[in-house]
Amino acid sequence: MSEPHSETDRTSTRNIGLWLLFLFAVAAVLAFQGSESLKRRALAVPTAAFQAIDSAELRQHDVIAVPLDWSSAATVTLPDVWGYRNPGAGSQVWYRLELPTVPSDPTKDRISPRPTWVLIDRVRSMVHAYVDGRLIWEGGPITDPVQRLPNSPILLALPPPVGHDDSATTLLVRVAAAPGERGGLGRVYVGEHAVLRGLLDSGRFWHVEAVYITSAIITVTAIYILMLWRQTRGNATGYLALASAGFIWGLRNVNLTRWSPATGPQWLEWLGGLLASCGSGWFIACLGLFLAPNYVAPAMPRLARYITWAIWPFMLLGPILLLSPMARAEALALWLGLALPLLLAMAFGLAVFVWRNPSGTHFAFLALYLLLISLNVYDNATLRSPTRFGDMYLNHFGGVAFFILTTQLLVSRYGDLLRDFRRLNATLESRLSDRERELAIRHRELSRLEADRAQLEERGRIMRDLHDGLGSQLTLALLQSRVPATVEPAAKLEGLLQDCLDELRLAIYSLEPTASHAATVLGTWRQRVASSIESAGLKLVWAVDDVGEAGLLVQSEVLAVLRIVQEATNNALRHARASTLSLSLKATDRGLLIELTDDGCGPPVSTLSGHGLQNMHRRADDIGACLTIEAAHPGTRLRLLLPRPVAAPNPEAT
Amino acid sequence: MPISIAIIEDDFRFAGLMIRSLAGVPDFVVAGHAGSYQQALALLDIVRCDVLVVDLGLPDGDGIDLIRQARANDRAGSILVFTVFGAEEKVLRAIESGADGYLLKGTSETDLISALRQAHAGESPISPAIARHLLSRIRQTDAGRVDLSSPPVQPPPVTESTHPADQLTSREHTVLQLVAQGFIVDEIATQLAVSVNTIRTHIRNIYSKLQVGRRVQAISEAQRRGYL
Repeated sequence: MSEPHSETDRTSTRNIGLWLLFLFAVAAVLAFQGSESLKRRALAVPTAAFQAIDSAELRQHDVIAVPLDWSSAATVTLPDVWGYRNPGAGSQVWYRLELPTVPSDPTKDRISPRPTWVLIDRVRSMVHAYVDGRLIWEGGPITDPVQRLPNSPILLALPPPVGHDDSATTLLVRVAAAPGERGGLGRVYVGEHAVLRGLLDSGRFWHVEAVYITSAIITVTAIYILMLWRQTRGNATGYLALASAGFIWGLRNVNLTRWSPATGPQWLEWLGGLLASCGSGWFIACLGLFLAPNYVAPAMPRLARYITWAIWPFMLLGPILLLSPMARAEALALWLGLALPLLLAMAFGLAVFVWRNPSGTHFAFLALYLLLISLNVYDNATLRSPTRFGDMYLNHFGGVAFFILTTQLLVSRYGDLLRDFRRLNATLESRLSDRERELAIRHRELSRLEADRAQLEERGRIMRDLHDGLGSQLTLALLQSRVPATVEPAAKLEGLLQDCLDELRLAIYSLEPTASHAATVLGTWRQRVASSIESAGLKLVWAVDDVGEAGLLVQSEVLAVLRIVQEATNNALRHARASTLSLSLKATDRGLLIELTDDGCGPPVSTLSGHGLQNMHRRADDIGACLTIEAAHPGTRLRLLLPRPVAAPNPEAT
Repeated sequence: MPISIAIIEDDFRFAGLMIRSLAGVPDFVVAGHAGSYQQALALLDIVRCDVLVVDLGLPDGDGIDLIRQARANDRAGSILVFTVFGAEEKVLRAIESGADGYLLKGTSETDLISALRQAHAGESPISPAIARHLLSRIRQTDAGRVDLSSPPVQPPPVTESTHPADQLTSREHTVLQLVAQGFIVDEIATQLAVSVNTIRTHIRNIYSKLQVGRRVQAISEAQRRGYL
């Protein structure tokens, strides 16, 4: 998805990996050249005469008691594994080597054409060396069964010549093979001690130390891959398998060397050998478990599935074969032979993947994988080839390169994942904050619209109120003003105008934010009408309870309550002919109750202005209150009930 | 001794009407009339009156500021504010600044005269709305006494209002509560079984506590601002 972009991001890490590999390869080549040049300064003995003679007499002796007849002996090239060449030859053989003369060293005083040192590069399994019929070196007694010598080369010092014979020296070598092993004699070199020592040391380096180094590197990369796997909390498929492959490979390669003599109990040796052999196959299996889901599945999912299914039985097959009565080497060869189709299938899948996702790193990956397979094949061939007996195994070098690149691949993949994750996170976060901002804006708009709507509603209500109340009253006053003072007293106009002012005051007061408590609203009304009530000869009884929070009104209720009370009072003043007016405010369980009672002539009948009555009922309905007008015996009682959820009177709390 | 009355009102029609009404009262004398803030300052420099009536909507200044200055310099015995609607927030601020009550414009002549007389007599008119306003700003202390908290419109005081003058007694609180419920002074006196004068005294005390409290605050405010 972001392949091209992450390509450029990965440039630096990819280059590091490739540079490291390049330097590694250069170092390897240089070192190899060095050892080759050493070899040139030593003289190799190319051929030897071969006899497969075995007799009880010939064993166990320091001196060759029975002379051997070499006239009809075959000539073989060294290195030689007689078991491959001549399977029926038996387990004890003799080699006769004519050691060439070493060119004289002009830097030295004396001319010594006779070689002084011999290096036998590899032998299996036990060897005795004779010069002039005498034993000059033995690895150990030739017992039954034959003991195995370690894989290290043998450096022999030749004894000084008997007599002053300048002819070529003859070296007789007796080799005995241990049971289950194919005996053989490796390359033989003659030369100065220093040169041969150098050859030995470089051989040791390549066979032993290099293997340790590569094993260490592979183990370290395996540890790193394991840590990477743990970082992904076990979600990365195949990483554990790859780490296991690395550990198996590191351990197995170390076992390959076996240059030091065997120490420890026999069973441990046996177990070590078994595990090392299993390691070869299990390495391939673990590699497959990593490659199939990660690098084959994206391109060819079915092939990846088949490979994964085939791997597990393959893994089990190895120990079964190795523990069978079959010879170890044969069993191993069979098992690894079965691995080849698996390896090729993985190679094919990998190739298709690289074809579909071309990049420098991927090509390098495929190349190293193919190198790994080829080196595996090469090593197998070396193992079984008579002509390459004693040659170095190359597999672990291929392994190192492969693991280095794989680790770098995984690290950069992980880095990409992290980077993508972080980018995704940032995107999500920015999107989230955008949405939040949008939401906040939307919300503000909404509340603004709500406020506007409420305001419009309020304005509408006020306009309606003014129109109904003040409008009609001013009109009345205007009409009254046209009536000359002779017809009606000017006090009437004054009264009407006073009503207008009161009406306006009432409307404005209802908008006051503090005009919210019923008791206060009624009290303020009382103050205003007190004088007119008094002048009408009416006594006002004030019975307002401390209703607390239940008395709180909303603005629409304030106006409605005031108008209803005003209208009722006007009725009492003008029509009821009452002497006492009492107003009470109570909190009941059904709500807030306002009662206005007069002791006049009873409830309004149709003779009263139905308009006023209609208005009162309408206003009560508008605010959802319940208005009842009934007879009070004597007089009229008006009840206005404003529903409230809780009507228990509380002490005044602010 | 006639009661001298000074009128600060920028609408000359109102002023004229009022002066005409007062002229007919034998024991009232109009000490002067000013139509703007500046004129009022000049007038108050010359004249000390018994009752000062101030319109809050002056064109070139704040009526409340005028009240404060008049109080500070003792240019009037009682101060009333003129208001058309008796909008409580303004009135309360006026009272905090030193006014003793308010007058509704458009009150009948008789009511006007009696209000002026009452103001001169030292009565402090209180309305249920003002009482409710005051109650809503009361804060209960741990000792069970009640304090007047700092007003919402002024900047916060430098000193906390733990001044003894800021605390209402529980009896004063009850009186305030009953006023807020709409009872008149007579009814409150009957309910509490005291005389009307006692109630009037309570109300006066409440007001003076409000003014003292505000005066303390005004002084601290002035000190803070560097005027004193």
